Amino acid sequence: MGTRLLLFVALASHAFAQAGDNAQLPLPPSLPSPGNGLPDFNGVWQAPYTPDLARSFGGPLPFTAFGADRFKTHLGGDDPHGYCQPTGPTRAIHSPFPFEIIQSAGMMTILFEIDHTFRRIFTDNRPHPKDQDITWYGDSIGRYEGNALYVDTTGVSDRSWLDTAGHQHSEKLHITETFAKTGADTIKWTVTYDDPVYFTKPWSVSLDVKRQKYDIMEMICTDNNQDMPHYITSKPKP
Amino acid sequence: MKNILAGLVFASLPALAHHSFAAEYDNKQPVTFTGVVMKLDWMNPHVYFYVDATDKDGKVTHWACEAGNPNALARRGWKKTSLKAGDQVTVEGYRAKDGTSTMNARSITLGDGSKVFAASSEDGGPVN
Repeated sequence: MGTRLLLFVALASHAFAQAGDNAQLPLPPSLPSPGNGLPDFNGVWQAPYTPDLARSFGGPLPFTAFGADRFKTHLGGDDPHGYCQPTGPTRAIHSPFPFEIIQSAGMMTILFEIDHTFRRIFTDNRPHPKDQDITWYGDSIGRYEGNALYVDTTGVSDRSWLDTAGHQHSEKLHITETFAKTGADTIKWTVTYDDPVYFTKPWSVSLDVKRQKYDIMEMICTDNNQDMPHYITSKPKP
Repeated sequence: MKNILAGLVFASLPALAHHSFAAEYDNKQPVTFTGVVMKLDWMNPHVYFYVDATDKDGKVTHWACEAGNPNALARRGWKKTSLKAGDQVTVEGYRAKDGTSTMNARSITLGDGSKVFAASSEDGGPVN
């Protein structure tokens, strides 16, 4: 008792104390396994927040001269997500918000808490569309193999940024991802970015994604975006 | 030791994805003030609270203070009632580059010495 009380007092009075778990929050729904020998990704997950992909890459990215200049001269206040524009297909994975995966026949759906949006990865053997439209999230197709889903994404608008640090891309961006089930509650997510306009060679980052205790919540970015008038930006003031 | 503590803080604070610290705030303009909470907006993408701080000469500054994300704060056990209108607070953080009385709160201390909400981290801003 004495030790526990002391520990409690020490923690509570610690300058950096936090409130702890929130027992009132809803828990994730219990989804059945997809069956058919497929790896079970169903559930709520979160990757470590990765605002700067170069840090996870372990050094400067292999920029082309153009890519290096774009990164060097970018303004943080130009970040599209600062204006509540979409994250694009992969920044939402390594944002500080969880996501829910729902596997169904022919498709894996990711419901992102960030921006209350979603991504569909088709697993019905279709190719990318001909004369593909360029969109914020692009077109994603995937195939299961063993304990993993391999995903191929093209057609991503160059208006999205890859991360908060300001790494950008062209519409020639080709993203490949592996969702590998490494345990009941763990996924190894590996993403490779190939973009000849910005990078001299493809580069990859791997993150350990963990099953979450709490359900996803609503996150509407435009609800109270008080930051916009204060950005140091090249964009017109709202 | 200081580095270890800094690391702990870094790991324990709610993160911020919406924009980078440098997009809006100036790490060369630390600010600390004590005042009364006038209003709290427990909303996405950031909790904002508004503090009226009176200086020695009686001049009142209306501060708009950015805190972490409400969903992340809720998962850490914080509630929208953890900080409310009428509370006396001391706020430490960094001022907006545009010179307005807008700031990013890195530390929020209530009158009884307890801390609430913490702030945003991993946004490229200073680690308190």
